[in-house]
Amino acid sequence: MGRFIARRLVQAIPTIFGIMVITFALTRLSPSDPVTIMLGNNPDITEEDRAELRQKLGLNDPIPVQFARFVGDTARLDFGTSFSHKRPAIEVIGERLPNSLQLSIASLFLAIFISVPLGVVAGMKRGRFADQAIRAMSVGLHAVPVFFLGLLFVLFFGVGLQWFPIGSMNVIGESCVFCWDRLWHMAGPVIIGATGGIAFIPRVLRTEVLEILGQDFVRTARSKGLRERIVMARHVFRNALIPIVTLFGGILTILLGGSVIIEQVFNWPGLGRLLFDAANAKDYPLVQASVLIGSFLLVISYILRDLAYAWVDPRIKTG
Amino acid sequence: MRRLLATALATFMVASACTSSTTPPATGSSAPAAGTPVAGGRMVQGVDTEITGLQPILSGDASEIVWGQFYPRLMQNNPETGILGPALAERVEFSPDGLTVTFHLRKDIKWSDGVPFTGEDYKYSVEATIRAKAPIRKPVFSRVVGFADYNEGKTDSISGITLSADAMTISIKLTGALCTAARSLASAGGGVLPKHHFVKDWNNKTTDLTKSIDTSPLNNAPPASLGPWVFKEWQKGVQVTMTKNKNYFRGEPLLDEYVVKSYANLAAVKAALLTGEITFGETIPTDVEEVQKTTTGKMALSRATIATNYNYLGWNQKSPKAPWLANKDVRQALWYGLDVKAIIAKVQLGYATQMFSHYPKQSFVYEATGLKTYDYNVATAKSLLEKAGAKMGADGVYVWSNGQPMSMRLEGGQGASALMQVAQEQYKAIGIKIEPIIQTGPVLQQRLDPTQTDHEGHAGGWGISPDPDSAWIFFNAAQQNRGNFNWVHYENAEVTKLLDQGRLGPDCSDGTRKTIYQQVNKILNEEAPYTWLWQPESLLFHSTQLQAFAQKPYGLTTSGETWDWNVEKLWLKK
Repeated sequence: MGRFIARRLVQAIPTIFGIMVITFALTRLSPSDPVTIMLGNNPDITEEDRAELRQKLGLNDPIPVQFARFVGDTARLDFGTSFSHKRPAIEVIGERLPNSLQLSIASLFLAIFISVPLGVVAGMKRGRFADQAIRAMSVGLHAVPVFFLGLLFVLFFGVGLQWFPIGSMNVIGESCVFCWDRLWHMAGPVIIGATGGIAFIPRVLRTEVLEILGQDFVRTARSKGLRERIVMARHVFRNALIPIVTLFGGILTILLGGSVIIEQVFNWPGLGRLLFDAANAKDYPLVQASVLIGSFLLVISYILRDLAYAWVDPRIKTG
Repeated sequence: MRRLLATALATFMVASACTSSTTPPATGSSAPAAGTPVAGGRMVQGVDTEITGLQPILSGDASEIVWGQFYPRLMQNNPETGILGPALAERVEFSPDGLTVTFHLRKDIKWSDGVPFTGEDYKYSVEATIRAKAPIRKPVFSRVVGFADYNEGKTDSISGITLSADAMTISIKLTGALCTAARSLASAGGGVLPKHHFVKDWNNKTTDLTKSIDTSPLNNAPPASLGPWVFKEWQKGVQVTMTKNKNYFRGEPLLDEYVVKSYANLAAVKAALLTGEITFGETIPTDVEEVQKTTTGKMALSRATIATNYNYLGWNQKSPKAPWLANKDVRQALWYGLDVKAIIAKVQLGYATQMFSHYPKQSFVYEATGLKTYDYNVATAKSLLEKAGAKMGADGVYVWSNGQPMSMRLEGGQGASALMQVAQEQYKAIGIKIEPIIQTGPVLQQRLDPTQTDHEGHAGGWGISPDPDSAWIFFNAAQQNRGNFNWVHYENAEVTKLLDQGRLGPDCSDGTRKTIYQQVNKILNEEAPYTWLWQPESLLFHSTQLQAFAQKPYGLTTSGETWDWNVEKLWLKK
C-alpha cells in the first residue's frame, strides 16, 4: 500500500505543476495592481514608494523569474507572506483549513447517510411511489443552485423561524469546537452542502441496485432460500457500493469547490471565504497557496478513494 | 498625512431599487439617552469586512476599526467639523517657517497596564514604521529630517524627532514645509504603540536593517492600550473581543465588552440585524425599510451625512474619442442636463445630500456663496452645447464641431448601474448619447489610470481626508502619473498653484488655507471636471437598548479613526 501511495503521489506532480501554472497565470493576467490596492490613494505615497514596494514584493521581476521563484519556494513549502494579512500564507490557511474540513467532511457523511438508503429504496421499489418521489427530489435538488438554497435556508430557518443561526461557527462569546453550539451552527451549511450528494448519489445507486438485482448471484442467493434482507445486505448492497466509492473523490471536489459559496452564504470562516477575499485583494501568495493546498487535498482524497475501492472490492489490488 | 479612506468605487453605495421616496435631510442623528446610565454589558458591531491584522504599521485596510481602539493618534478629528483637535496631545504648533511641528502631550495618560505614556512611545512607533518591511505607512515620514539616514541604517535614531527632558514634548523638524504635517505626523504610522512591550521584539536603537517589527508576535495580540478598549481575543475570520480600558484618558467606558464581528457582506449584516444577533451594524438605503418594519421597537436607525465620501461623474478632458469634454461649456451642460435631486430620490432613496464641488458643507473651508447649483435645466444645457459649437443632428443627437456625433461611454461599477441608466435617459433629452458600461472595480481602476486616455466618462466615488488637501491628488495637474488619481486629466494652472500653496505653505494657518481652498472650490464648481452628485449617508441600525449612540459627519462608526469620539459614554438600558 505504501508503494501505491508513493506512486500516486509522484503521478500527481505533473497535475500539481499544471495547477501552479494556471493559478500563477490567472493571478498575473487578472487586471489591477496589488500595490495600488495595498497603498490606496494616499497622497504621501509617490511613484518611487510604489516602485519600492513592488520591488520588495518581487513584482518588478520578469514573469518567468517570478514563476521560477514561486516554483522554487513551493518546493521548499514556502508559500510566501500574504499581502493582506502580512503573515505567512501557510499560517493563515492553517487557521482556516480545519474549519472548511469540518463542513466538507460532515456534509459528505450526511450526504452518504441520507442518499445511500434513498438509492437502495429507489432501486428496490422501482416504478412505485417511493422511487418516483426520490427521483423527483433528486432532479429538484439538481436544478436549484446551492447558493439559492443556502439563502433560502438563512431566510426561512435563520431570519424567519430563528430555528438555526444565520451563520458563523459559534454564538458571540463562544469558541468551542466539540459542543452543541458548534453543531447547531454547522447544521445549515452542512445540510446545504450535502444537497449536491443527496441529489446525485441516489440516482447512481438506484441504477446500480437495479442492475445487480438482475444478476445471477442474486437469483442464486434467493433460490437458496436466503431471506430478502440478507440478500440485499450481503449481495446487492455491497456490490452496489463499488461505483459509489469511486464517486466520493469527485464529491469531495464538489464540496471543497462549493465551500466558496457555502462559506460566503453562512459566514463560515473557511478556506473558500479566504480564497474569495484573497482574490478580491489580489493577494497573490494567499491565492496561490489556497489553490495549491486545495488541489493537494483533492489528490489525497482520490488516493483515499482508491484505497476504499480496493477495500470494498477485493478483486482490486493497490499494490 | 492621514491615509485616505477607500479606493475608488468601493465606496459607491448606489442602490439599484427604483422606488422614490422623500427622506428628511440628515447631517448627523443621535439617539437621546434615556434614564440614568448604568455600567456593564456587551455591544456587538457587525461589519462587512474581515479583520486581517492588529498592527497599524502593517495594516492598510479596514482592520483599523479594531486596532484604532488600542492605538490612538496624537490628535483627532472633531466629529462635527473634521478640524484636528486634541487627543493624546493637548495641542500642536507650527514654527513660523513651517519647518518644525511641536506636539505637547497630555501628562496624565497611562497605558492600560499602568505604564505612563510618553513621547518615547511616539518616537518608537515612527522608527518602527520607517524600518518595517511592509512600507505601507513609511512615506508619511519621508519629509522628516534624518528619515533617509535612519531608513538606510546609517543612524540608530531619527535625528529630526527630538523629545524634551520629560519626553512630553515632541519636536519634529521637516525638510520642507507641509501644511498637512500636523495631521499626518500625529498618526505615528497609524497609532502610537507601547514601546515597553514591543521593544522586546524589536529595538529601535539599531542600524541592523535585517530586523523589523514585522514578525513580532504582539502584532496580532496587542499587549496594552491607550484607547477605550483592551484586546481580549481574536477568533480569526470571526470576531475580535475587547474589554474596557479602565485607564482610558477620556474616562472608563460604561460597557464591559465590545465585539467586532465580521460578516461576508452587508446582506449578512442585515440578517444579523433582523435576528438581533448584533447591537449595531451598517445597512444600505434599499434595506432600511425592511429592517425598520421587521425590527420595530428593537432597532433604531441612526443617520449621518458622511463628510468624507462623495459620488460623481468624471469627464476625461484628454479623451481622443470625446474631444468635447475638454470644453467647459460642455461639462457644464452635462451638469445642467442631469436632475441630481431626482436621481438622489430614485437611486439613494433620499439618503444623500447633493454636492456642488469637491468640499462638503461640513468642511471648514466650505463657502456656499458663489457656487453654482446647476439646477436641472434642459434648455440651459442645450444652449451651452450650442454655445460650445455643437449642432443638433437629424437623429436628435448633437454633432460636435469636428462632425462627430456626441456619443460616449459612461463606465462604472455594478453599484452605479442604476445611476448610469438614469443618466443615459436624461442625457438623451439634451441630445447626448450615452453608452453605459459596467466594469469590475479592478478593471475600471486600470482603465482610468492617468496613463490611459481611452475613456470618456465614469461614475465614481471617493473617500476623502477631512483635510482640504484632499483635492490635491484629484485635481493637481502633476498628478497624472501611473497610480495617481487625476483620472479626468484636469489641468488648471491656478488650481495647481493654489493646491500646492495650501499643501506646502509656508503659511499653514487655518485662515490662509480656508481662503485658498474656497477659491479652489469655486474654480472646480465653475470648471466642472466632475459632475458632483451627492454625499451618501451612513445608515446604521442599533439596538434600542444602546443609549447615547450617535454618528457625526466626521465621527462615523465605520471609521476606526473617528468613531470612538463618545464611546465611553455608551450604555445599555436594561
